[in-house]
Amino acid sequence: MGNKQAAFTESQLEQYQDCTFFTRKEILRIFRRYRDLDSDHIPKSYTRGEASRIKVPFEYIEKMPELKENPFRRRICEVFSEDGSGNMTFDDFLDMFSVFSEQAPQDIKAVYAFKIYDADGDQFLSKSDLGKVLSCLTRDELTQEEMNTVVEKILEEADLDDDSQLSYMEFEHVISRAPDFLNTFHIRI
Amino acid sequence: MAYQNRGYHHDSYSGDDYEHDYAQPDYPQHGPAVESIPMGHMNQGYEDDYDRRSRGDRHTVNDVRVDVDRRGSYTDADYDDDDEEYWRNRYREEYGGGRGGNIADQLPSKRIGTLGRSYAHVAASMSEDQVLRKRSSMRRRKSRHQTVRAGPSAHEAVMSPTAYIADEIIADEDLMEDTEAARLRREEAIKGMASGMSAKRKVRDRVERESNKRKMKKVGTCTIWCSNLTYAWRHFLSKIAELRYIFVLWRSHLKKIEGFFGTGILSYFIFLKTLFLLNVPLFVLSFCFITIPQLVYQPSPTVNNASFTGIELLTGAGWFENTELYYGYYTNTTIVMNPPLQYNMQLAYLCAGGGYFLLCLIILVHRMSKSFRTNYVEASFVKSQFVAKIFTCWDFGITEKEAAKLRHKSVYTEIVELLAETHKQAQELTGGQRCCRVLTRLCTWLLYFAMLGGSCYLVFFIAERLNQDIIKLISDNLAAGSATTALTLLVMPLCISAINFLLPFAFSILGSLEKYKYPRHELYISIFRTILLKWAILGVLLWFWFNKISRSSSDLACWETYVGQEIYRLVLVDFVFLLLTTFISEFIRNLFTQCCCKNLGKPEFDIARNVLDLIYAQGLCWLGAFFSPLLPVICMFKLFVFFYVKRISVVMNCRASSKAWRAAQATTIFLSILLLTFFIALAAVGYSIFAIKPSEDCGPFRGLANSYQSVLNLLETWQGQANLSWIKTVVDIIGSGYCRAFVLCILCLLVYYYAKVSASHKILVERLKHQISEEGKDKQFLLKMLQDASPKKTGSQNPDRKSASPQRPTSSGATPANQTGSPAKSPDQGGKDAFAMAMAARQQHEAVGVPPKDY
Repeated sequence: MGNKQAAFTESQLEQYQDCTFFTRKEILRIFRRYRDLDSDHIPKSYTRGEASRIKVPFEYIEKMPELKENPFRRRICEVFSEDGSGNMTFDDFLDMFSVFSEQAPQDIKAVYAFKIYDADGDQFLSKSDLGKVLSCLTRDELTQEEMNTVVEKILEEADLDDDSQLSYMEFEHVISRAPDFLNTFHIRI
Repeated sequence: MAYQNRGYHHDSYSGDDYEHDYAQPDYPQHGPAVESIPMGHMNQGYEDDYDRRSRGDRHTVNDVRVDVDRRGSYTDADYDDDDEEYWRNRYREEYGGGRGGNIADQLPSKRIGTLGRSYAHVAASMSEDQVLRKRSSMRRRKSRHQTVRAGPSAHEAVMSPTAYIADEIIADEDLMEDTEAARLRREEAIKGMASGMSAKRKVRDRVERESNKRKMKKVGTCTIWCSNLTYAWRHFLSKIAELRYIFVLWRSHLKKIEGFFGTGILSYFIFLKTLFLLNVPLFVLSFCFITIPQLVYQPSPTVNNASFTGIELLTGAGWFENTELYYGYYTNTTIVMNPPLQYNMQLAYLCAGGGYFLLCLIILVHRMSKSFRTNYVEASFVKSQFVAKIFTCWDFGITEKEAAKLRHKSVYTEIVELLAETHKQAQELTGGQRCCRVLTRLCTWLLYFAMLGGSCYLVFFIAERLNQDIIKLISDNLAAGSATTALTLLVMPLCISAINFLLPFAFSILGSLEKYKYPRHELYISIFRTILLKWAILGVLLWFWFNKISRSSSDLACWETYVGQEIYRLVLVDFVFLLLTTFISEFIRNLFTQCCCKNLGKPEFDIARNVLDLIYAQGLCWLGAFFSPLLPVICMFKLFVFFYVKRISVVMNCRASSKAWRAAQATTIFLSILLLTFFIALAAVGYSIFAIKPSEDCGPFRGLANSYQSVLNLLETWQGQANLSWIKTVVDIIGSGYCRAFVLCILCLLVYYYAKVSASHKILVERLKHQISEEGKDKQFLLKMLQDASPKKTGSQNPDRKSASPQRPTSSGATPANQTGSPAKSPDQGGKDAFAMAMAARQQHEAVGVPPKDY
């Protein structure tokens, strides 16, 4: 970082490298992006535990170009913020992009996709969750009837144990074999 | 297992201590929402539950719940002493509180594994036998829990998951080996945890500490040396990874394109990038091993007296003829630098090409098989239209408002179409309609073949007609500079480019007439037709070159150079043509749209057509590399320019297709087409090496019967030397018919064997899937019974056993479906688990003395 004050200590960077799918350069780059969100309030140096303490409110994160057009942005931030509020520390922020990165394996992506789609957080994709996903995707253009049919079809295909909701296992079973999942569940930073 | 022994034992929970222990203030940092213990963890928990009950505890399994924040990461700050208290608190709160709840909430299938998944991930990163070993070792550990430590370990049911994962990793010998490989696997395991950064960090620190401790124990000089070496290697790799980040080509452009258009158009650019990178080794090999020696040697057999006027850049003739650009200029001598060092130009020429083709074959086959496996074979296990569509239709990479709008719209239309399709499937066509459709398709196919035949004939006709003129032009070198000569030379490439540009439009009209049920069938058919046209044209040209040109040695000094020039012109004209069409069909049309007629709309970017153009260009490059060793540079330059032109054009002028593009599957198709094109080029070059007589007075193979003769000559000289004569014998044996037949038989047997194996796997998968659904129904049934029974018996032990027992089938039944790679092993494992359950249940009854109830 030249003569500027280093954002992280060596050991912090090593920790991040071991815990995410990023290299050192990428981590610093993501940190710059994070600082840009609210550069007045985020300190330049994160060496004294700020990474898990200082939170950037959801309203700022939402405005990132990577997220601002995403219909699930609220849910994404909630899922990735440690307290579920949508306000993110740098740890959360880095973790988010690590999961969305190209190097992250399918099963982690599947876990987080499930959490994102599971709007009420009850560990099942129930009919109402699926309905919410659909209306997010189509901006409420589907009629109620169409929506019900689609939900029924989804359950018909994936609900193996007939409890009219998708558990994580059922979701993963299908999603891990959907060829485009890895391609689309991916944000380039 | 130092951790477990550190007073974290279950004993502290049992008996009277237990009330006392829990009189602690609530832990400050736990999250609001509730999540249950992850699956792998829970399995352990059942056994512990049984054991606990066997000691007279009176708590139901319903209550074994642990507070967790929403994302499944457990927000304990540190699991040393404070942590222990925290979890004890939780334990008491939940456990002692007797809070009832829906039993279904505790089912294992509901748990998103903090651990379960990470282990799946670890397992996936290891080889098959390692997994087996791992499983067996895990099983061993489980059985140890039950038998040796008869006093069970209740703590694990309430232990912080982070600690649990750390313990699991530490207990795993495969992961804790003192090798770099194990270290990498450890890191993978930690990265693969689906939990927050703080949890990961804690696990990492603990595992690191533990592994350092173990390292201290045994230190030999050899191990130190090895670990130093591996450390250096690792360091090197991480440096490379960082470099890779800098050198990833066109990163920001790709991001931008994805932001504007999503993965569909992005896949075109990624394909372009792949081709560009594929050409780099081709260029390096031919430049280093063919061109540089030639430059160093500088034989200058003929003086290049032709003048350079500039038009040669287009025609590739004239001044270029006697340069390193073409085959004919290269020498056939063995270059001797210092007396012992020789450089055989013939062999270098063959080996550089052969090496590249081999490399290319490996890369392409590898990519192709990987992509085919993930996109077709594995995808075929699950037949899902709606789930796959709904959960993968949103591109998370989209950053532009317009793109997002369009995507919303396209998702909507797709869903509606899909719904309509499922309704339509019911209705059958009437006889008349079917007849009409068959007739239309017959007509379109006839028309297609007429067009194909016509264009092939046109190419042949022009080639034949102009052949003599061109040969004459080339032989009197002086005329090559004028415009008319250039035009004569360029007629054929122009004509071919025009065919390649125009006919695909005709094919898409044909496709729309045929009224296919699914739009993707129409797309595949039009891709097939287009590529067949391109192959046919290439085939005609190759046939013409190999049969006519190479035999007319009296008129032509060097037929290889001639072929090289032809390919050079094809490549160049193709380049200019594509640039022009991009400019006209995208830029001008966009201008037109903006100025006068607004309802024309921005042009759509036709991914299929553009990708096929790239494949054709690459095919030309492969073909030409033998006849013109520097052609790969031109191809690289072409692709490089193309990337920028297309990138600017697409962002400025185009709009995304309103139809969905199944990027992953389409990429597989394009890769297979690329592979086939590669095989065609390989076959053509191979044919020219093995079967065609090279020119008498030019090129490295002058004077030989065919190019392969140079290798035979080398073998002959080796046979003369006593210590090398075996090589000739080996080559003879490999080349003999018996050997080839033998290899063919073996290959056939292998294919047969694998086909059988995969068929039986398919049957197995079907059965297991059936089993899952049956187990699921069982679960529902038992749950319902349990739910009915539980209010009457709250606090008694009996429901516990029941609530645990229906969970079993799900966990054991769900496993095989998720590991289709190794389905055969899982039922066995399930059986063992069930057996363990039965054992535990019996122990419990023996200890408590309650006879098992018959449900």
